[in-house]
This record gives sequence, C-alpha cells and structure tokens, in this order.
Amino acid sequence: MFLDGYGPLILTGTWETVKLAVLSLLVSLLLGLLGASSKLSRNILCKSVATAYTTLIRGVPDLVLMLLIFFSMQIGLNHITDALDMDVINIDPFGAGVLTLGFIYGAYFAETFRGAFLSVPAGQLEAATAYGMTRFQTFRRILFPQMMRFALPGIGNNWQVLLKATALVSLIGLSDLVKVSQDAGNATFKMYLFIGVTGLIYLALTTLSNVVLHVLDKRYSVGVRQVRL
Amino acid sequence: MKKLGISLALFAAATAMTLPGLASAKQWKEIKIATEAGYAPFEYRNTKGQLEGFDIDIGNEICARLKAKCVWIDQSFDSLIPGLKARKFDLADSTMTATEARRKVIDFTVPLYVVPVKLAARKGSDLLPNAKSLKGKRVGVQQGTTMETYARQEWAPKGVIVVPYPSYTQAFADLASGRLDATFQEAQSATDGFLKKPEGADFELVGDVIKSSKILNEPIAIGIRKNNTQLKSAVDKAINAMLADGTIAKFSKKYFEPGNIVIPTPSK
Repeated sequence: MFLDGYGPLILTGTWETVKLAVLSLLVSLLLGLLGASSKLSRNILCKSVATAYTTLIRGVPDLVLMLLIFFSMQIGLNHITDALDMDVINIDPFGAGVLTLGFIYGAYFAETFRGAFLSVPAGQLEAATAYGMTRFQTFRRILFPQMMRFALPGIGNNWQVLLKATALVSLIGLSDLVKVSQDAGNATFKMYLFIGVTGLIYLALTTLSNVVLHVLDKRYSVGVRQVRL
Repeated sequence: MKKLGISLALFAAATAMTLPGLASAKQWKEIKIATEAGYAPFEYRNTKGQLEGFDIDIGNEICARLKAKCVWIDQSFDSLIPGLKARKFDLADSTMTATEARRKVIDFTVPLYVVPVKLAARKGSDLLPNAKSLKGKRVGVQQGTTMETYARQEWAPKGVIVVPYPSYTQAFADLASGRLDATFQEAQSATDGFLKKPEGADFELVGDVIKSSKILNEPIAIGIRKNNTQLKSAVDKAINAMLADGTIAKFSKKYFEPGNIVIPTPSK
C-alpha cells in the first residue's frame, strides 16, 4: 500500500498547501507593490500607513499574527452580529488563511520592492517623463521591467518562506500538508516516515519553483551584460 | 362571536400542545465539534481522510441523541480553546482533561472517561511507579502533560531523573535503545505506540495506576463555551444516558484493551 494507504490524503494536503501558497503570493505581491509605492510616495499619510504596516507586521511572529487576526476578527464580528441581533457569521478558514498570509508577507514584499524601485537609475524615469509618458506608462514600461531584475532574488526568498509558513494554517482548521502528514503519522504510529515524506515534498516544491524563478530571472535580465572577471 | 370562540379554543389547544415543546428547550440543527485528529485511538484520520476514534463515536452519538447534524472540524489542539471562545464551534471533543486551569476559561461537560496512566519498562526489570523503585533511574515523559507535572513534583525531588520529550514517539525510541529505564504515560498510548510493535516486544506496563494523585486521575470531558447553558445541559443529559445504558462502554471495547480506560458512573 502506498504510504500505508495515506498516499491520497497526503496528495490532498499537498494540493491545499500549493493553493494556499500561490493565492497568498498573489495577495502579498499586490500588497507589496502598494506598500512599496506608498513608502516611496511624497504623500505623508500613505507613507506613514505603509511604514506602520511594514514595521508592525515584520516585527511580530507569524504564529501570533495568525491567531490574532483569525480569532480576533471572529470575536469582533461576533460583537457586531450580536449587537444587530443576527446569527454568527463564520469566517471561512481558507479565505482567512490566504488573506492573513498575504497580509503578513505583503510587508516583506513591500521592502523587497522598495529596494528594487530604488535600484532603478533615476535617469530612466526622467527620460520617460521627457518622452511624455504618463505615470502609469512609466511604471509599466520603464520602472516595472527594470525593477523586477532587482526584486527577483528577494521574491524567491520570500516565496520559499511563504510556502513553508503555510504550515501555520493547521492552527485555524485547514488540512495542509503538514497537518495531514501528522495525522497520518499519528494514526499509523510511523511519525518519522511521514515527516520524511513531507520534507521531500516541500523540497520538490521549492526545487520546482527555483526552476520557474530561473526562467523569470533570464527574462528580466534580457539586455543586461553578465560581468565576468 | 362564535368564530372568535372557536379560534380562541384552537389557540388554547395549540398553546397547550406547543408548551411541552418549549419546556424541553431548543433544538439544534447542527452542532459543530472540533477535535485534533492526532491521537489514535481517541481521534484520528483513516486512510480515506475521515475522522475515526472513541471520541468521534461519542460525539456522533451525542448529535444523534440531540437529533442534530454533527459538523466536525479538525484543528490544532492549541487553538481549540480560542476557537470555542470565538464561537467557531460549539464543543471541543479531543481527549481534553478537565483541569482547573482550563475551567477558568471554558466549561466542561460531565466526565466521559478517565485514561489510566501507567509506567512502561523492560520485562523483568522489577520497576514500580514510585520514587523508591525509580531512584536514580531515567524516566521519559512528554512535555506539558500531567504525567510530566506529576513526575517533576513527586519523583524528581527524590532522585528520579525525569527526561522530557516533545512527544512520546521519541521517548519510546529511547526506551527501546536503553537510554531510558521507563516511560510514564497513558496506558493505551504505550500499548498502541510501542508495546504492540516489534521493538516494544521486550517491554510491558508495570505496576498499578497511582490512585492517590488528583492530577493524574482528572477525567476527560468535552469542552464547551461558558454560559452556553442550554447546550451544556442537553449534552450532559445525553452523556449521562450513554453512560447509564452502556453505550460508551460498548464504544470503548472497539478501541481499548481491558484496563486501559475507565468509564465513570453517571454523575449529577
């Protein structure tokens, strides 16, 4: 029997982990871009909100944030529904997991993008303005493609941490890869077998994503000469 | 006038009929029960991913008796109490010991069962679960359990070396390799996790249950939010009925060796 019959369950858990990680990545990329732009903007309100966001989120452990956001959101919502004499609205664990992880890693991505934005020579942006491009055109045609080259190593780093951080969601009732392999290990009393399998699956996932990152790296380094000594 | 009289009579009759219904309290369409499926044979996942185990059988039977649908939620043990308080679910049914500390934040149903705690050691070692017999010996326990608390309070000051482990799996591995002289745990977890396996063949449960200790004999019960009195009284009633008619004893035979579980008599 494949993994004592727990093979299919492990695959379901792997799929849950991948779904969570990819969706959280999308959320955090979006929040990261927003956060970086706000931190670099001249608007004092945008700047202070974004600075508070990155400082607060990066300074508190993921586990604490996960419990705080998931349970305190629910308790807050309960107060509101109680006051309105409504039934309890249950926050869906998957959506909450994606939003929480996206919210946490958005702060890390904001810093990655901020650094990358700053690495693009100012002359490029001045030239774009001189050509009469709008701000959005400048972002899409000049800033983003050049910024990505600097951001990719940091993105790869954050992605791998994010992928592994999905294991925290078992706290809020989702059966991700780590949770199902622990369940399988506990049911069969073969803990180490399943921990080993889980480690290998994570390794396979990160190896696969390294390939994707390598392709992206090639794409965004087009036109940049490699220096050889 | 006549019509009014009839409708009044009908109203009275209808009220009379619904009143007993009202007195027997509210009905639950579904009851949400949370558990951490990581503790066979109490709660675990089978190969199809479904929940199974002694606590799961008990929970399903409670729902059946309250004519409600059971909705099971599998999540980490650490977040069971926060989840109860945040009303994510109604009951926490996960081999939870009804300790004083937990009673400060949540309520418990009437006791379901007590899991006897015993010492496991090599066959013929003549060790017994007391400080005199274990002096100078190395005893493995799982961190954060009542077994660890007991061993540290009662045995460690008298020269027993108490070795904590993240889980009993590691303690059993060290017992087999000779790095420990004994492990101190719930009898069933030693039976299933170690003694039944080839590497546990030379080991056995030794001595009796320590009856004098309060912390080791606290019962397992189902956690319930404070002030959820209607549900608590309904569940308590169902549990007492299940204890009285032998349903819980019947479930236990499916999972436990005789002596590895103690079913109480129905309580008030």
